[in-house]
Amino acid sequence: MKKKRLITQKTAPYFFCAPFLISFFLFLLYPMINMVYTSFHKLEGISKYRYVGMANYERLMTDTHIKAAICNSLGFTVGIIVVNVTLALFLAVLLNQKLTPCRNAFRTAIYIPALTSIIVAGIFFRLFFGSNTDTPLNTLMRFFGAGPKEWLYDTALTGIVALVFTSTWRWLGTNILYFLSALQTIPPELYDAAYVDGASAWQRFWHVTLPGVKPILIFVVTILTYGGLRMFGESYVLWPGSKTPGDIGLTIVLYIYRTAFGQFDMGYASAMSVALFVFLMILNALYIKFFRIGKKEG
Amino acid sequence: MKRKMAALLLSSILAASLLGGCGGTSSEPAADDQASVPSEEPVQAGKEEMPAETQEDGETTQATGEATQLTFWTYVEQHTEFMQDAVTVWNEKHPDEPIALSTETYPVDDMHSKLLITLQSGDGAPDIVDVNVARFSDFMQGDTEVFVPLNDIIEPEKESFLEPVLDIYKYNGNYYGIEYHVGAPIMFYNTEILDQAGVKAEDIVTWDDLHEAGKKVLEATGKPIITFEVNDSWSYYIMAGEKKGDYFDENGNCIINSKENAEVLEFMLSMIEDGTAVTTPGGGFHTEEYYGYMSQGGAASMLECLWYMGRFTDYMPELSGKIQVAAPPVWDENSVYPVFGGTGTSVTTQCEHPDLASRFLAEAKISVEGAEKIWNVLGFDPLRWDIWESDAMKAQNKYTDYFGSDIFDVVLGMKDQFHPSNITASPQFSLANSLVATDIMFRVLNEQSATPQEALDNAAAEIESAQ
Repeated sequence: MKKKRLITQKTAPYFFCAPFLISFFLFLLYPMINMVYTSFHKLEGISKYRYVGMANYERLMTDTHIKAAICNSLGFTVGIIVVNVTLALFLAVLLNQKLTPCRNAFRTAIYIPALTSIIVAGIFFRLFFGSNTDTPLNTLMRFFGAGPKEWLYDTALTGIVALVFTSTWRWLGTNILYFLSALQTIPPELYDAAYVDGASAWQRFWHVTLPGVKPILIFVVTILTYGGLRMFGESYVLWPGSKTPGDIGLTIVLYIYRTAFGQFDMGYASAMSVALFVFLMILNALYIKFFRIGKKEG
Repeated sequence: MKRKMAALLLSSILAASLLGGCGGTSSEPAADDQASVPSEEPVQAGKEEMPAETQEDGETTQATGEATQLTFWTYVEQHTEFMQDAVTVWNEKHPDEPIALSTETYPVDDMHSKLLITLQSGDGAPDIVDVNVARFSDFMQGDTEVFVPLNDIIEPEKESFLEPVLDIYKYNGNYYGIEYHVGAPIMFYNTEILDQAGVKAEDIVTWDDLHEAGKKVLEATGKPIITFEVNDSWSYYIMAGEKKGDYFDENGNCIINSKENAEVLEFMLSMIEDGTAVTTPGGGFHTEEYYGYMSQGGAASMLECLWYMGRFTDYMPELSGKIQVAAPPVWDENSVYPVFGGTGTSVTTQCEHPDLASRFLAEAKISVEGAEKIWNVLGFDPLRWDIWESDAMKAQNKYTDYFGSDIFDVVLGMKDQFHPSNITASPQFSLANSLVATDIMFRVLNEQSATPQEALDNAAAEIESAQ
């Protein structure tokens, strides 16, 4: 008699998906469900959760720090999108020109920061932006005739500039790589044809290059948006001990971290996480609709 | 069939490696995380799994025979040296029950979050742990006991100890931790700068005296007399504590917006406004920027606790012989000196040898020899007052070389005015402390966007809404 087989055509897909599904349920879905549960409770001591109803969500409405955190996170996101798209595209176009000398050396050099740890790089940037008069940036400011500044403790704007600078230094190379790969998919004939038709360099960029890199552009903007809104590492290292005076440099995720692990207020931190999740899902839907992701062109 | 078997085998290996990669063993607390945080010293995870004889580095004390493995977590590198020294002494005295201690140092926030998670999950917590006093009450809430009561080792010796500081870690009649030091507030004066202005530290008795002296120093040298932290709270906490101001009363009620607290902020602001004080470069007293600033003679004084001496000796060696320790200025004749310790050491309930760990802790921190080492090795003011006037406190060490031989006389002169703070009276203390450190000081002193009373009232409202 033939034994009943465990793996049939019907069950095989489940086996192949099992590693992902198990880790997804265990390490993502379960913690998420638990987070929603926790958001209606207050942690007392180590393991006692007291039901508090909507209190954590009500607190969310009146919390002034969360407003600052949202402003910082949005400011940072807009900042890195603007800088990383324009600068990366500009440099990618330059590095794609055959006339640019030492192209490969520059490509490698620009990419290297992406390989460093943010903790290590962040320590350098914290000292770079340091408030003493002899720190690198303040020395540079003096050279240009401006006074020294307490960059990390001045205004919310200088805080965001420091964050955007640190983040751009690290991720610019990766974004250039994306754009370079997109540029190389554009057939050279299109440029030749445009040239023959008498298009100027700017017109060639606007009408040939830009439409050619559009899919990658959408990808980069999407990645930067989520990267920006969930940014944590940069602000964690630039302001030691995750202390952000006057909420300068306080981002949404840093605030969640500080509430959860600095004050052990797991309930409120969970409520913030749920709110951030809902906000990101709405943003996701808008992106899909706006960029027509998943729909056929035309 | 063979191919199917091979496919099945391969997919199960894949699944196992995926899950294996995610999980890790519980005795190896998040190795990835350790690699990505700036730890004060390289952390060696999972060391306790190795036999003591095979360990070569100095962090784990060698012990012959059947040494009991204990783990110790801290966030202060100096404490590991102190504990390893204590283990050596213990093993000499108790050859029949030797201990091998593996120590792990983490950054302060990471250590407390790891401790919380391991205590919550019921597995992976260390046997002995240093807990910051400002975070201690977080672990004391609810109905789960996470630390072992230390009454057996503390109560017999209680008479010889400064009891108010012992009581910081007392809940429901049980002592759950033992402090390293009194944490006497101390003023560190740079005599080189004071001399240039013809000011003597001995003449500065009240805060108003300091303000007046500051004007002279500013005129003569162009330098501020004192620095105030903007992303830390302790210099403010001491100054407010002198007026018996606090964040909570002894019953845990929020009094952060009290008149006394606001008056202290007003005073600090007045010094900032006329240039006799500045806010600290780098935001606080524990940053590279600040060490550099003070080493170069940036300001003439700072207010911290006695344990800050170690920062001077280790990070500002240039100032050796130029720093005078003195009792902080007072507000008036009713002023007190607030004491609130700093770090309590506890034995967790996950420890398999709580009795041995407690007795070891007693020898390390409670015994006369232990208390003497707290002074000589760590430069801390021990809680054991019965040795304060002994010769051990006058012995030469790196602190007397740096600050002069009469350091402890300063502490002795202050002892009658020591007053305990209500630092562990409320689980909201860490929130209050965070609000002072990240909001109040900065808005009032640096940004000057809120008056002291406004900033304190906002904080009180926020603490209220978090309850």
